[in-house]
Parts: sequence; C-alpha cells; structure tokens
Amino acid sequence: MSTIEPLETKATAAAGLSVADQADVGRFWRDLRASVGSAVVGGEPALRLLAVAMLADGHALIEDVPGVGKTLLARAFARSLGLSFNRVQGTPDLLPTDVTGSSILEAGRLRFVPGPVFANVLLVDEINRATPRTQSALLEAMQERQVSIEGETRPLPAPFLVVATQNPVELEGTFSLPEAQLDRFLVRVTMGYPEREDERLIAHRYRGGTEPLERIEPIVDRDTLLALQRTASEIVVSEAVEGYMVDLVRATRQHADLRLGASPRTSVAIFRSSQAWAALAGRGFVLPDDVAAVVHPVMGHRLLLDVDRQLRGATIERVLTEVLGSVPVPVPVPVPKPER
Amino acid sequence: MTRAGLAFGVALVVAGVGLAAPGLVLIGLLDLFAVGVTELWSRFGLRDLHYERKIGRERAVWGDEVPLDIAVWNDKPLPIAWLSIDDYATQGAVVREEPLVRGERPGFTILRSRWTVGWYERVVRHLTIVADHRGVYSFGPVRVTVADLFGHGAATREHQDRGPYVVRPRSLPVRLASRQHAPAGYLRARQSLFEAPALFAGVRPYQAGDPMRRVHWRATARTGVTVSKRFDPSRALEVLVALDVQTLPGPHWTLQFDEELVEGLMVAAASLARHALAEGASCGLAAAAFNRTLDRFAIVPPRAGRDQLASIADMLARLSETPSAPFERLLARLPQTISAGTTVLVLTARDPEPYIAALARLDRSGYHVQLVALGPAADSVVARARAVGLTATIGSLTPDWRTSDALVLAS
Repeated sequence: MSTIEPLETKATAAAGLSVADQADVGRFWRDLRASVGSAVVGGEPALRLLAVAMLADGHALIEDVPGVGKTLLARAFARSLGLSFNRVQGTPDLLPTDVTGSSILEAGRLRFVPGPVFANVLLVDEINRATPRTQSALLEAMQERQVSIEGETRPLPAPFLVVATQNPVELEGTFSLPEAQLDRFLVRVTMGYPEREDERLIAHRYRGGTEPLERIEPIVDRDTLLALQRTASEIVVSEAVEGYMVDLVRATRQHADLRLGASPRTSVAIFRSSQAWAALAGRGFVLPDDVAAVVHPVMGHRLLLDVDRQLRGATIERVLTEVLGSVPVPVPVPVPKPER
Repeated sequence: MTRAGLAFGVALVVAGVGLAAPGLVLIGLLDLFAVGVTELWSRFGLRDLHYERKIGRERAVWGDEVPLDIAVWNDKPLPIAWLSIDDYATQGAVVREEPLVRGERPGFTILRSRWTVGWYERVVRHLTIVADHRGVYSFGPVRVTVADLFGHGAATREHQDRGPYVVRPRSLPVRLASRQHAPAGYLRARQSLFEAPALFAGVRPYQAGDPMRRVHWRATARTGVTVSKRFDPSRALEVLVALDVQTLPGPHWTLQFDEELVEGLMVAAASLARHALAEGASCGLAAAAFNRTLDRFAIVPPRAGRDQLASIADMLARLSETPSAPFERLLARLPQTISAGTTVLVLTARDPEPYIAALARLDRSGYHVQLVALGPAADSVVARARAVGLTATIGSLTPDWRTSDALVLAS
C-alpha cells in the first residue's frame, strides 16, 4: 500500500532540505512577530518585508512620513535578531569615515577604529540627509560587503543588513538617492498610518512611560540566522514560476507609462525575495502568489515614470498593478498519462 | 397627496356602490391602483439601487480625454420605469456625449441621466470628459430620483459621492535661440564660486582666520590636530518660477483678465519648470493668485524630487486667472522662501513698471533675476527690464499655447 506524501514534503525533499529547516523559518517568523509586536503596534506587512530582506541577504529602505514608527520598527527588528547593531543619523556633515571608520594616532602609531558599518545590522536614519559622498560610501559597503580604508580592504560581518529610513515629504536640505543607488535596496517598505484601534493601543503603551523596546529579547543568534538564510536560498522555484518572474520584469520594459523599466538585477531581486517570502510562509517552494506579493516592494523603487504620463496621473503602483494583471499567471498543468 | 388620493378613491368607490354607479366604482378603483403604485415605488424604488461613477484618472493634461463610466445597478425585483440621476459637476466640466445643464446651485452644472432599469439590471454609460480648460473639477453630490409607472416623482435621495479630477496645463519642451538664453544654465559659472554648507567635503588643517564654527571638533579630537570643515562648491541650481498672473494694466483687483495670455503664462511656467528639473535643478513656483487655500500666495518651494513637476503642475491647475495680491508683494516675500543664489525666473505678460524696483532689489540682494516676457508687449517689457540691468528674454508659444510644440526663448 502506498501512502500519499504531502506536497510540501515532496518539494522539500526535492530541494534537499530537512523539514526542520523550514520549521525553523516558520518558528523564526512567529517569534519575530511576537517579539517585535511587543514594541510595535501593527506594521506586520512592513516587518514581513524586513524579514524577507534579512533572509534574502538584501537591504531594506523604509520610506514614509514622519512619526509612523519607521525607526522604532527598525530598532525593534534589530534588537529581536540579537545581532550587533549600530545606528547612524544621516546629516549633511556626516563624513564617509564617520560610517566606515578611520585610523587614529595613538602613541605614535595609527590604530584603526571601525565605524558603525561594522555591525550585523546598521540602521541609517534619514539616509537622504547625508551627502551624496557619504551615501556612496555606504551603498558601496552594502553592495560589496566590504570597505576599503587607507588601502586596506576589510570585510563586513555576516549577516549584514542595512535598514535605511527616509522621509519622502520633507525634501528640503536632502539629497535624493539616485536610481542606481536605490537599486541596492532589495525592498522598499512603506508603513502607512495605523488603524484607529492600533493608534489607541500605541498611545496606551506609551502611557506607562516605559520604553517598549526594552521588553524585546533576542529570538535568534547569528549562526541560526545564517542557517535560515541558507534555507531560504534553497527554496525551490519551478521553471514556470521563474518564467513568470521574468515575464513580469520584461513587461515593465514595454509599459507605455515607464521611462525606465526593471533591470535584470530586478529579476534576481524578485527571485530571492520570493524565496524568502515562501520560506516565511513555511513552504519549500515558491508559488506565483509569492512572486505577486513581492512585486510592489521590490520593483516600486526601481522604475521611472515617463514625465508626460506622470502628469496625466500615472503612478508606479498603478503600473505594477496593471503589469500583474496583464502577465498570465502559471497554472498547474496535468501531466498526460502515458498510453498503454 | 397619497393620503388625499387614497381618501378620494375610497370615497368614489363607496359612492359608486351606494349609488349603484359602476363607472364611479371603476374610477375609484383606478385611483386606488394609482395611489398604490405610487406608494410602492416611493417606498421601495430607492432600495438597493446603486450608482457608481468611475473617472478614468484623476489627473489630466489640457486637451486630454478622460473616460467617465457611470453605472446604475437595480438590485431588487422591482423595475424602475423612470430613474433620473443628477450628478453635480463643477462649472466648466465638459462631457463630450452629454451637454451639462445649468443647475440651481451656483458654480455647478448637472450631468443628467435618465434610465429605465429592469429588475436586477445593471446599466452602464460610457462617457468622455474633455479636459479643455485648466482647473480642479469634481463630480458630486449625486441626486437620485425614481418615479412610478405614471412618471410621478416618487422618491429622491442625495448622497455625497465626490469624484475629483485635475486638469493640468500643457508643458512643452523649451527651445533656446542660443545658450545664453538658458534659464538655469546662465548661473552655473557664477554659483560655483560659492561653497554650499550642505555639501560637506571633508576636513583640512586649521588655518588662521577660520571661524570657530568651521572647526570640526569630532575630527579634531580623533586626530589630535585642529581641522576645519571643507565644503564643495555649490553645484546645485535652484530655480523659482515667479509667475505674474496679472495680464492687464491697472490695479490687481479689477477681476479682468486676458484668458489667452493667462493660459499662455501657465503653459510657459509649466514648461520652464519641466526644463529646469530636466537640467537637474531644484525648481519651485510662486504666484500671487488664489489657489483654493486661505493663503493669498501660491508657493511650491524649490525641490528636485521625482514628483516635483507634478506638484508644480497641480498648483498651476489650481491658480486663479486673476491676482490675489500685488505681484511686488509676492516678490518682497520670496527671500523667506528661497535661499540666496536662487535663480528667480519672472514670467510676465504686462509692463513690469509697478514691480521693476522690487525685481532690481531682489537682484541686488543675491538672487539671480531673469525676466521672461510673453505676449504682444514682450518687446517693450524686455527693454524695460534691461534698462534697469536685469537679464530678460522673450518667450513665445507659436502659433498659440494650444497648438505650440515648444516654448522658444530668444532675445
């Protein structure tokens, strides 16, 4: 008598992963929600995208108006991970060496003092207030995962996640990140205003005067996180779903409202993010739904609208919705039975 | 009416029976039937009746056509023989297939639709909004009236279902007769002499005479040597388009204007802003015109973001055709909004005599004032500006702002 093996287990076996690996990812997500939720009210979609960025070994840009909890979310997330954490406040007089570190003269010898970039999680608050020079130094570190200072290349610790925040409204005295640099961020996260009940709860939490962040305890250690990243990178993506990803990316290049469509690097970003999204859902394989879920946060900041279309009310969100609606979703196809 | 009709019908029936007059009974029964029908539709006609309005997009550019779909869905087993929907629209809105009728409310016209809708029937009308006038428009509120089989108004309901849309002015490429007419490029060489305090470039050894605020204390502590901050020269250009909406001579409060010139100025302002932003400058807009806020001055501070042109175009869409204050008062307020070194592109179509002194003052106080004149008086306007030492160019939209393919700047 043969037993029917659950689909998930089959996919997992096909991927060469142990079931425990995926259970770990599922547990990680559950614990992370509970841990961050003790300090941050609402914001689960944003937290999920931060977790996607971490599992996919990318970086996240949190973009929203002031006061919605961008920094709090980033700090709570970092604290929950139990990794080394540093924070940099973007200001116009921030030097590249203030981020990367520099050598100081000590007893007649130069001693290297590492900058805040030498941490597992780096929070760059208001990144667009830093000058382009400092932004470049930081973004180079994000891409290369190493910094070269005074002729010496120093690797950054792994995992390395940059969570940057920026306010899209107050642009006076800021230096907008160019498209090429925005591309370095795997996902762009927006938080939005909380629901009425959530807002009441936020006010309630702060009534006691205690800092909600103090309640957060680390839920994982560094080695576990690295293992989770490996697990996420081995999630199975079928050929049909791969084709779907590529079709979505290519559709943006033909869209009339766009001046600049998505690059091949975007395909890679969609691939990795979908894997991480599926892993968080406790699956060993990627569904088209996972791809659709990450399209807006992964592609939104990589596209440029045509000026004339923008004046006619075109928005990136609408373009992506149209792209998602126009590209055929792969559906399961029954395998024909061999004729006897 | 219903109660009186009911009483009348009953009386007729009773009288007909009493007098043994079948004709009276018949008339009474017919009256009762009519009263019943009216009552039925007045009570249930509006129930489960839905109206939807879908505007294709909320932003359009002058000359565009925007799809407008209106749908009625009667979700009940009672057909509606006569349904009238009055959708109030801001005056000036144009729907190609259906002329809007004048309404009883000032400032509104009505998009009137009349239908017969069966039970569980959904009816859709596909219409087209013609964006033939710059401005901010909205549809709504909506008044829905149902009538009975005899066409008597049975019930009316009004709901606040607003659907706004904005018609932005055209923005055209700017064509320069020569490089010297470039509105933003004119300043590149002059501005690079200054340092931009926001562009922190690093540190250098302290030199005698460096102000204390220039010392970088953190770096000094780190290196053990006093160092001063070094800044990059200012490369970022800031351009503010100062739009003079007054087109006729005289005081600003006359409420008269030359529509062709006003719309031409709007197109020119949008075109200059688009050009400046494409050149990599930060660009803003200022005008002394009513703009649907309590502020008499419409100001969009200079910025270089992705959405800046859209913000400027939105502001231009909102501007009134007549000024809200004297233009010179706006010029006097500009230093509070823009930083020194900003290029102020003054766009005008009238003699600048009333504000020429304010322009010269602005130019002397560290702003780079450049005047762009439009319209038939452009030659004399330019001559007047040059007489006081200002840079001035003639802008032209040929043959007119509707059909021109570029804003040409020339001497």
